[in-house]
Amino acid sequence: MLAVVALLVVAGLVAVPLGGWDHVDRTAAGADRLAPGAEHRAEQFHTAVEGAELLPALPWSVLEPEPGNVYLVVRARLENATERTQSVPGTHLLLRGIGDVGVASRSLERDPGGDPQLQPGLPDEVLFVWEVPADAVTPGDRLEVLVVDTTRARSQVSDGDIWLHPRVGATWEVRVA
Amino acid sequence: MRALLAALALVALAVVVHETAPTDQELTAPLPRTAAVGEWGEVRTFAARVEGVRLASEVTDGEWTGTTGGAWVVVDVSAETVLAPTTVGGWLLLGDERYDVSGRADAALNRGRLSPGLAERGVLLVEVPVEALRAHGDDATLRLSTDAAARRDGVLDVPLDLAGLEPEALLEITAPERTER
Repeated sequence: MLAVVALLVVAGLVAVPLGGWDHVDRTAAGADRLAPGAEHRAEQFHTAVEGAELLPALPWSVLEPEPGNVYLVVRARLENATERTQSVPGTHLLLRGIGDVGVASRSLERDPGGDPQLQPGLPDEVLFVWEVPADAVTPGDRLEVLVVDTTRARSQVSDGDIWLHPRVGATWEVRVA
Repeated sequence: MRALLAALALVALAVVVHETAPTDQELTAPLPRTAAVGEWGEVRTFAARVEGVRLASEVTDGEWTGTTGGAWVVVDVSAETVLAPTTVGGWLLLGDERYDVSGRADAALNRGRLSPGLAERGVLLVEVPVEALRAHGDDATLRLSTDAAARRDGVLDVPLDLAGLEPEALLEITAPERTER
């Protein structure tokens, strides 16, 4: 028992100067807190969260939310920071403080409806959409939006790259319109 | 002494093998075949001919209009598959950048599956930054493929000179139609 405790203490002491254990990096505690519109630069995407609004329906879609739900739309400017086309993952932006609302659907603001593919060197406005209970967030609320950074690795089983080690890169607090 | 020499020789051999062994990328890279504009080329899964290329600031199929912060490269292509029904798409190589063919237009050739021996003619659209066209447009390559990865599979490279092209303000595209090879 004493040996186990001693081992944990030594491991802890070794980990501290190395930056701590991996899961520490995945929390938002050390992430930059940015003002709306300010850009966070990362390996896959440069991201600037600009605002959020509630919509009873999406103008570009025939789908309607479940009764008692609304759409929460977060607008962000994204730039593909790599040298090849990138799809924007639904987990690129997360919301804090409104419960489990799942993964966002994504659309280009100028051409909604399809899965947004961002070309290198062509920044674009991307809409992230969650269907949320109407009482989970109301106009005027402050909403915390988190961006997830990842690290590039070469895939061994498919073409190109895979993006590993998700962690919170920055947070924005925006007022919901 | 003899054992030492043998060990050194083995180490030297190991270094040579390590330095000359193909990388994972080289082992799984696509197998390109080249065809000029106007010429049919065929690889394992499809055959295609690029018939022309234009630039546009906007494209429309009547119902959908594609805007862009850059330019659309609009490629007129005839293609048919060889083995099984599948889609023919690909990507444009400009310098070190790879720009995938867009899936936004319903009327684009890559939005539908082609059948073996039944050639169709349509357009492929690629959205690119104007700066990339200026910098590398004279040495572009359209890589046609039936698979986004094409690991150890055939792809068709078509060299394109985009440098002298002026973008049209609005270019109308039409849905693919049957053609003859």
